[in-house]
Amino acid sequence: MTMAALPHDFSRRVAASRSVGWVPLGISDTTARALHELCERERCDWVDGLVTMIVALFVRYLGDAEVAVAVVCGRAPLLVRVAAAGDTTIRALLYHAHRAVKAAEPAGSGSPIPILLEVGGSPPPAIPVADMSIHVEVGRLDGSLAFDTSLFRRVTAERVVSHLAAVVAHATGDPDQPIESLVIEPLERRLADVVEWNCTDRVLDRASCRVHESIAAQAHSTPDAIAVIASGCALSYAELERRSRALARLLQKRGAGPEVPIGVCAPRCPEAVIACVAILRAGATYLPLDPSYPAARLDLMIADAAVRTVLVGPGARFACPSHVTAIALTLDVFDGDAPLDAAVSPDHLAYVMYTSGSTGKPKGVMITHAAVRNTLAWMQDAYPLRVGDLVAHKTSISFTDSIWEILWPLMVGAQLAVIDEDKVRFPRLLVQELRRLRVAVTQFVPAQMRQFLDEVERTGVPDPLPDLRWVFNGGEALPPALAREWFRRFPRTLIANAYGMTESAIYGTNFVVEPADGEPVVLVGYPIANERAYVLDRHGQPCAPLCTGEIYLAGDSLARGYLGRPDLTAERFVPDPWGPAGSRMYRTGDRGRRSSTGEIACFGRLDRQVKVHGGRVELGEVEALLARHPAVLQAVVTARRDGADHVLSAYYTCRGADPGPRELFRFLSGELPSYMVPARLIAIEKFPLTVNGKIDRECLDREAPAHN
Amino acid sequence: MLEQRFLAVLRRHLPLIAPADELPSDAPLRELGLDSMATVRLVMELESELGVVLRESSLTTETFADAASVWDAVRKTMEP
Repeated sequence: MTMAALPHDFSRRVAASRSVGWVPLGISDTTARALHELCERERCDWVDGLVTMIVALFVRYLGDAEVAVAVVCGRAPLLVRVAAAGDTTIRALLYHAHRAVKAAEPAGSGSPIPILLEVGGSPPPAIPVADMSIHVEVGRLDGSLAFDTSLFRRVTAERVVSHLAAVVAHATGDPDQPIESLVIEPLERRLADVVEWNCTDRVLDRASCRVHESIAAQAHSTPDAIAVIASGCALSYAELERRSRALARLLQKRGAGPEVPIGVCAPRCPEAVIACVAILRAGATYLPLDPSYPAARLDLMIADAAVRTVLVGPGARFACPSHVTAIALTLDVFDGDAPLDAAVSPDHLAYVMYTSGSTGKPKGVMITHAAVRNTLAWMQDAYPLRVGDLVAHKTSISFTDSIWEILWPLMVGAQLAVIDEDKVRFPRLLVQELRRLRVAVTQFVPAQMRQFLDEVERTGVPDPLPDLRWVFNGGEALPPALAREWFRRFPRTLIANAYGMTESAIYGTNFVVEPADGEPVVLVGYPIANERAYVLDRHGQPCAPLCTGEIYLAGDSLARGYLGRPDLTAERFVPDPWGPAGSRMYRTGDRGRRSSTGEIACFGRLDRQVKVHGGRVELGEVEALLARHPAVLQAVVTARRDGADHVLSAYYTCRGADPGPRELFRFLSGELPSYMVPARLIAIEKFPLTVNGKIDRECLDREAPAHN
Repeated sequence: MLEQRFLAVLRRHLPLIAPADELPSDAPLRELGLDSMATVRLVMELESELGVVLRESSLTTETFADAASVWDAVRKTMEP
């Protein structure tokens, strides 16, 4: 259970100038009388009834929660603590509240009070006594709600008041219903919000709906401009055009065409960029294969997608399976003049990207030209790149974020700068490289940004990247403190906190984090162009603002589904009742809520997926694999938070002798990309169980030795 | 003395080696759990604990292949 706090609009700042805003409660005498009668029937006090209503509202907002209500009723404030879950009935909650009020202790001073209830009080204070406070008389609900204006917008306070009124009305009408069934906002109002907050229709340069056509058009208009730079090499748009055309023709001769997957096994390099463009131009499907992945993993993807041709980049070790043709990529491809024609439509696949699957096998996400085109055109609309702007290509080609690093600059005449592996890894080298190249746009996962800022801090160079306009946060949630620190070092570089996943062709919503006086609240914002975002309850109905639910994404950027997995596709891509006929929405598995103005906040997962170094890991996949080792009986993998990152730990029981952590590390490293391999592998006698007989995962991390 | 302090720092970043285990100078550090993020943390800690600044030419994947090559990189910082 989490200690409850109301969803703030602004982060708490120590030095904030605080003032009080007021909203009248305006709850009718009839409703107040109903609550009063309920209290009398149950032999409870008026205060008990009010605490019940407040706790019920918190549970509707946050799910299961422990709520601390500060109560002022003629004497010094008392702290009333009540724990409740969604299935607790109002009558049961009233009983809990009654006992909690009796057992309440004097409220300590110092720590902030999320909610305060004052009954029959003196004139209202001029400075906030709590984040929000409710002031009423005995037996009446026509008092008011006071809110700290440094934390909340007025519209949020007004929503809270209307929700509270609905809670009292419905709870007193049927006290035997569970908290989760209280309707705090009529469905019509929630649906109206869904429509209003998803008005994203936007015509985004529809000149060409196929990605490679934009690149070819750019090559036509700025042939001499630099398209790709890397250490010791620069390619003009004309050269990119000529080489990708030649390679595309070569691929077509080998049977490449719509829906035919062509693998690219290469580190980041100009050759791989050409290969990606060439595959799209041939009308085929780009399928990135990271050469640092174990051969077994790559074989799985190749077999799963029925790949017959793999383009192998310089320096890539690729163990070519027998039925696959490997073609070595070079920059010198024979160039004929024959025209290139690919009968590919916007609904054909542009790429397939593999991501961790919970059942022990990676799954291929299928993205059409139309989908990726929508995301990229939105990016250009929201974060306009100018001709000559430099975009850093520093993400492994096996991650979805690499797609925009490659295609976006090339579609609009900007430059793509391939950053070497060592420079990506060592922040000291990266700072210098980004500075030397005068990079305009780059991206970090939070853990990388942390290390990058540590390095900038160490050198103390003021404003080391004056040309950097936007930094994209990727992979996982951006901690507000990290954002604040970013702005301290880079006051002119805004943070694009775009949110999405492989299944939404990279992005689904967007929020720009700007420098603020204190700590910015980091949201993921509103849906991007031609996309829709919903926060739905477990019955698939839109949640009222401030209520926690699951985030769904829908619209033009959505994936076609999972390759060869109609079952999984049907489970995650479900009909969208609010979109155009036949449209689907994707269940992200992320928990989130809307603010009173409709912006989405995302916090954590509903399932067992985590991000490690920004890479997506299904803990179940690692567990399934570890359990395949002959000496392992059972395995449980946990993810512990470590600053802006996660650390994976594997706990296992053995069939006989313990093979030892290093043997299991080698075993897993032969099957999984390195970010998916647990840093700690710990043999245990038996798994600790919860009272319900399930494996107690939290206990594992708490009690395991720090070292093997 | 310095080498001992070096080894102590290095071992802190190798989650797959037990305190009692020997650390062979040519054992692949990757197999002892040193991943890319941990490498960067190791650099920062070596520098602050040993009072050195690794040369930029030493910041490569090869340098962090095994204990011997990392120690080489540390010693290079003391050459003129």
